[in-house]
Amino acid sequence: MTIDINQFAQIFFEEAGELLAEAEQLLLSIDVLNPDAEQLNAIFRAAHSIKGGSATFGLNEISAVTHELETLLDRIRKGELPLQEIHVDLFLLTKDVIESLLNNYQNGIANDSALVQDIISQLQAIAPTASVEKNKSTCAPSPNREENVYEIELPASYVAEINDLQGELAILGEVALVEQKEEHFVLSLLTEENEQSIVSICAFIVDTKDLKITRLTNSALKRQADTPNENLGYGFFEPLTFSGENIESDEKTVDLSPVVLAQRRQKPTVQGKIEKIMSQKELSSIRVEVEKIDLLINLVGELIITQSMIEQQVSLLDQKTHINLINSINQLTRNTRDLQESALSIRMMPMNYVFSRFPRMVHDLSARLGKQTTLVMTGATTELDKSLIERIVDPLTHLFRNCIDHGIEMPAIRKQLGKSEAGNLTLSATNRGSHIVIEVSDDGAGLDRQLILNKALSRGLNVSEKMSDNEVWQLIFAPGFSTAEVVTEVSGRGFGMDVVKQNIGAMGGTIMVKSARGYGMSVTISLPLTLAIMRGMTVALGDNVYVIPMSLIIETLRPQVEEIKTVTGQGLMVSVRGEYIPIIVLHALFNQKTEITNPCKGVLVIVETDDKKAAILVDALLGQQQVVIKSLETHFKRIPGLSGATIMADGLVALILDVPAILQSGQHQYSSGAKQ
Amino acid sequence: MSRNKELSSHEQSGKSSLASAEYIIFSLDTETYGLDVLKVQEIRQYGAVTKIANTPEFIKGVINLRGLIVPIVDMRIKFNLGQARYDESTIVIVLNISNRIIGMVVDGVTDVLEIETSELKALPDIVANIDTQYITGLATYEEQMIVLVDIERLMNSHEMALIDSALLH
Repeated sequence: MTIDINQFAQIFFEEAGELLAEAEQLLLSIDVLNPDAEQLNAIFRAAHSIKGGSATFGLNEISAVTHELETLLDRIRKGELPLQEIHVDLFLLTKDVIESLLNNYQNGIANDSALVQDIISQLQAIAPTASVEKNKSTCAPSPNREENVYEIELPASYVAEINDLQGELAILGEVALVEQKEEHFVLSLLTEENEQSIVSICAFIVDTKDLKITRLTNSALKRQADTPNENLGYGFFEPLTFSGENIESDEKTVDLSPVVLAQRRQKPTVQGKIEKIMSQKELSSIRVEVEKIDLLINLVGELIITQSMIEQQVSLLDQKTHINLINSINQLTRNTRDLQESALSIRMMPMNYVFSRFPRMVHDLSARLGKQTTLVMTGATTELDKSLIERIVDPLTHLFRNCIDHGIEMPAIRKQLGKSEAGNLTLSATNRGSHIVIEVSDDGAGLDRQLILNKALSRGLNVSEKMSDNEVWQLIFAPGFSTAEVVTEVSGRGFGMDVVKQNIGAMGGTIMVKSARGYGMSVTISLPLTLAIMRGMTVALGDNVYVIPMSLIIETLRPQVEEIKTVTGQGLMVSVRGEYIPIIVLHALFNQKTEITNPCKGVLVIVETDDKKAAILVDALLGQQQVVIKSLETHFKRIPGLSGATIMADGLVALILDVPAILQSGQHQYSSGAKQ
Repeated sequence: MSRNKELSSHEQSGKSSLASAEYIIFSLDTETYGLDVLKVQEIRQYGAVTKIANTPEFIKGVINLRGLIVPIVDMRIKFNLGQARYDESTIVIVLNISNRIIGMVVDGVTDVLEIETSELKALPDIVANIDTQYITGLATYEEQMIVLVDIERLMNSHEMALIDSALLH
């Protein structure tokens, strides 16, 4: 059976991404003057794992870069080279290069070889004596350290990999090629590590079954030194077995056809890598496909519905005679609720996943702009749905850029103003019921009301001096709006805040700005905890039940006759405290039969999206509840005006209104069908 | 429910023979139809559906099939066969067509038959309610004519309006 190595590539990319993120965090937190050995080791391990993986998948550029990185790190962690600030900066740069290389590989984009060469030469330059000649053959073990000499024997089929192997083993100690014959070659290694480490290092390159490792005892070593040409394996060495495989018999397979051989070698190598990944991860987490989780959540949702049906039936029973049943059902209710909560929590990820990237970004950006900043982050453990976590990164990055570029003043100006030279940035996340509130704030210059108003006027926007501060701040979300006096590399090109608002809106969230001139500004983003569940208002229309997302509803009202106006005798409008809002007659839009056609007999649900308001006419309000959003497209198709469906407590399907689409598709067209 | 079990046992035995295929036989008004049993996921009673705005009349709406939102079509309306009554004996054949679940309302399910491919007769040139391209052939069982339908082709067709037109080729 052949193994398609590419099926593991995705795991490698994910793993490498995590390792890089971890290494970056460690680098940023490391104390340059007094580095923690464990931290250095962890960074080294990350580099080493990426190198091994990239070599396995033939990503030579990455393995070349990581090799240099590893060499340098190795010298630092062994204390041969003191850690300096320039090292940390260069490591961070290297991390970025590796990340972009990984991205390129993943997306099939050709790599910039000049960039790779550049970073390699930088890494080499910083450690001038990095390429120590290590081919000094085996030297006698020093008496102070528990060093051993191992002989590693391999079939000749690995000749091509000798250099790689030597490079790998050099991490452990001093390595040399002792013997090379037609059928096998022997490497010797002087190291403090045990044979297990040798095996795991070699596993990246060779099939561990082909490895034959022997530890040379001191006497054997002496003897070998005396008679270097004597053949090996006559009683002086203890042959070590590690995988239960018969090493001797394996060597006979050398004369297999090259194809079979290649497979034999590849298969265990990849598996070894995967197993390694699994064993590392097992401690804290397991990788599960999102689909499996969604299925679980679906099933739990079903269970909840079934459970509430039973509950309803039981409530009709006589309390006295069925007391035991009723108690059991109550117990079941609690258990299913708990089950639902924990099932939903599987999709949740800590905000730390997002937060961890900002210290670096802020650090780099401040340095580039010559500003000083201190970043304080709170609430990194707050959890958010995985799909939202991924989408919140870009908007937050944008907000930070704005803060640092426009908000925070230059140190000298800050000093004049009596502020600390370093600008304070805060990023916080807090949980508020079914929402998470993320706040980005700075103590910089704040928004300039007059500047925004002038800019808006010059762009022909409808503004006036009388507008409240809040309304003025909303202007910065208008497309193409920027008040930056100078367009910089970082921001101020005039697009950005509108994109931020759009992105947040697409996630079902809202964004608010507070600002005080001279004291800074803060942007508050409120997001639903998950996309799978939504708070909805259930409304009746004929014999159907529809759900309107609560986040879009401003108010609901039953209008008086005199509040209903018509435009050219057709389009219906309702006057709400002096404001005219178009009425969308839902039953006309959906061709649904209903008794209630007069807006004064039904209920108007006032909704707002993208600053457009509309009043949706429905028969009656039924209540508010959490609904699990299900796609109509899975087994059916997209229906205009509906964004999905959900299952109600009675097991029936209720349809969720796609309010933005309904509002957009021309209100007059639909309201014309109304009869008063 | 017993019908369900019967179905699954037939399903297993049906895979082995190549020259014949098993068909689930259902009735629409006075006519008898058959479709490939392997496309059937289950058979259930007709229950309450949620109507969907601006869809053809034969699309009754969607139901909750153990958490899945599944469309229901009424073949009697689609083919103009008799009165579409909905009572306790109204049956829904739940089809699984390349992982899309669709419910199909019929008047009744009568049998599961193994029909030899050689027994199939070509459709004569007559006007049928159903486009001839969706018919595999005709078969006779107990002096009754059975119209065998290529259900996958029919359900994926443009006229059923069950799939986004962008997905149709």
